[in-house]
Amino acid sequence: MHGDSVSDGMEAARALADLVEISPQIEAAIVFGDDEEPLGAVGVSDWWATAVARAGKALLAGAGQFRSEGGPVTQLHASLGDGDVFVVGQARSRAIVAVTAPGQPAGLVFYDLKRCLASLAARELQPDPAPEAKHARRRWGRKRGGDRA
Amino acid sequence: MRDGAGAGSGEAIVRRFVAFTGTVTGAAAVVVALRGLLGGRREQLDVYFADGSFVTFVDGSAEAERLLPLARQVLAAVHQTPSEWPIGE
Repeated sequence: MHGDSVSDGMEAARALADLVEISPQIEAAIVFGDDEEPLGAVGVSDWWATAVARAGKALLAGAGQFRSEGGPVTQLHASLGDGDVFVVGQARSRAIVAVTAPGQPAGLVFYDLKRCLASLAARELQPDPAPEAKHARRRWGRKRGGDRA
Repeated sequence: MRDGAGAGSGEAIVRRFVAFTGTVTGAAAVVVALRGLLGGRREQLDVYFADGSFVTFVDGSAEAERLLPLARQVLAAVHQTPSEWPIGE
């Protein structure tokens, strides 16, 4: 279980690194699960990432309480004086919070955040390499190292 | 001679009035434009639902008063301004 969370964290860190690379307008982003615990963060320290994840989950849950029809909230965008906050996901599943400078194109940011979540889900669906394959790769690497030596 | 001077004086008054009105209107337009560019950005929250619909809560509404503080908490955390944390828990 601990190994799973470490693996999730590594996958989230990679997905977030890709996100800020293709979306330089994103200042910070945090992926969190249904337990409010951040799986990965970029642009913010771990301590603040936990606070952001809790606020993001509260935003999703709170926004859903104002309307009964239309299904659950899937994304929201808060325009504030000194920055914009985006949340994509659902209150009872994995979600992502991002902060940008004011006035960024919301559609583009939403698209990139959804793509980040989708890439994270796709990475999890990829099976781990079989133990035999791992050993074979390692032996192959040693052989190359031996050739050099 | 006297009639011509009176006509010239009236024309000058009209010119001054038009110039004054133009100046005031121009100044008002500049103020409005600057407010729009610098400080006129209204805080709001757009919420999107699974069926594709969305609703906007503008600052001052009951929904925005409850949700915007949470968004401000996110911004404060990212900008690491602890004095703004926590708000309205």
